[in-house]
Amino acid sequence: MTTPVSPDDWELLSAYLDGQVSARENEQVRLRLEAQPELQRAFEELRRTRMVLRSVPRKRVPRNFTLTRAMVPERRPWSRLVPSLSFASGLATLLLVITFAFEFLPGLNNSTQQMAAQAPAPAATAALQAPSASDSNPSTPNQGAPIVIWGGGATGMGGGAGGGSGQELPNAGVMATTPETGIGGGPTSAPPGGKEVVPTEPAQVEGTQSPFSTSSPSIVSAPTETPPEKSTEAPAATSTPAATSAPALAAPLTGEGPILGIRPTQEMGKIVIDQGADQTSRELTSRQPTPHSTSPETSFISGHLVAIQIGLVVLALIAGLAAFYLRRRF
Amino acid sequence: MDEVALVRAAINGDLDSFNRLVLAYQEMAYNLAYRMLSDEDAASDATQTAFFSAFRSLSSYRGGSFRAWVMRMVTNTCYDELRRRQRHPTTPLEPVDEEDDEEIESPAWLADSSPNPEQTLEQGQLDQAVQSCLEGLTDEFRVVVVMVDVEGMDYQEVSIAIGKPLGTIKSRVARARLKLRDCLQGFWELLPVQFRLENKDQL
Repeated sequence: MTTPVSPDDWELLSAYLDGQVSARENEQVRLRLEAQPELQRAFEELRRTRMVLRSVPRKRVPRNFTLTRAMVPERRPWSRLVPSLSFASGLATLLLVITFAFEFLPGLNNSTQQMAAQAPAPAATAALQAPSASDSNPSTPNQGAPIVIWGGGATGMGGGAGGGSGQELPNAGVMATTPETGIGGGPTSAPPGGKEVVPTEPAQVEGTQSPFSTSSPSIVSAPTETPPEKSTEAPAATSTPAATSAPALAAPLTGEGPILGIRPTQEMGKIVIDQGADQTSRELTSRQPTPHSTSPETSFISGHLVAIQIGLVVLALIAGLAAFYLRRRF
Repeated sequence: MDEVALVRAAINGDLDSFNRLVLAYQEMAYNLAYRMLSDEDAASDATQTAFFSAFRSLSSYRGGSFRAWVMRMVTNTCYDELRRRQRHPTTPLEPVDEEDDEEIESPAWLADSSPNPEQTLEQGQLDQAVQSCLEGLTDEFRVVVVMVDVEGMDYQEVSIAIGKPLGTIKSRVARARLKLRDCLQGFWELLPVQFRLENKDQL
């Protein structure tokens, strides 16, 4: 009795029997039923099976399944607030955790301090650039009080590179003393040919002691042939603070000098007071943010963060307790 | 009052409107539960539980066929009951003699109490024959074929009721009918006369 019909044909015949096929499939099935007797037999078996299932007597319900007021307590408007209160409590708790993580996690905390330090940072940068600007102006009080900032970016520790270039490029011209080129200049600022190079800022050239210039004339013509000693002295000379005297140019690299923070031998034992530089350094120090200092922005954020945390705790507790009470009550 | 208005009123908390919907669908729900659970008492309990759950979940109703939505409640309730039966089977594997409190060694209790084709023939109850074949199907196939062939629901409603796509419904209906056809081979003579004559011609 079993008809060799593929499962796909069975599914198609079943859907065709229920009228759940498209018009094109309906036409295809109709043509196949006319042409294939085994498919026609399978379809009849399917139809009879469905007829048997549909002829099953229906069960009478033993009783009515209507609900009574006793079975279903009356829903009050307050009960509809339970999902909202539960959600609010959960959300407040989540935000509370986030704020705690924002406060205590190291990475997030640093980012907060960085945000707070962004405001004073430009001022400090301006202060760092102030000496060169002030030096270019002869009328400023700091005219004769150059400032040496060690490790200060482009104007900082270029001395080593300058010395190197002095060795490798004996024909290098003037070691330009502009702040942009660093002390001793760099390879890019050393034009060939040994010509005199006028710095871009004439104020540093004429008469004013540049922060990075020595007591020697500002424009120094490099000799065509630089003696080896001279070239080796170049790093010391270029790395010497501007406030030092000329003999410091010949100071050997004996572990002393500004790089190591030690005065040259000639100045050891002497008290060198540089009022202008000291004052400016104090100003810079006072302007630069320290990691442990608390800026007003930081205290403002931390103060509000505490307030937000307290508010979230109160909100989470109130909403959670209200949802719990309403759920138990209704 | 039409069904949409009754449903809207029921969503707003009108229990009378909901009870009118219950009266309209309780027979269908009970028969579906009975075909799924094969027990009248369990079907009654499942039907009541399903309507109770439906009233409490009216806010989740998003329109469409309310009948299919109610049948979904019934189906879920039946699935819960079937899972509970699997976790807590009521038939002991080794019955205990009440007198001497020892296990009964006779395998008589192992005999299948369900009617065989001959017994069913003697009883002449088509209903039990069909139910016996339905019990041989898995729950997923049984619920689909009951909804489509016994309750007369269309594929779209069944798709909503059990949360499966139409293609799945088509496939399950076809495979369930194929299994039922094979099962009902031994019950053809139980069929009413009109079916038997037709079967005789076809066979």
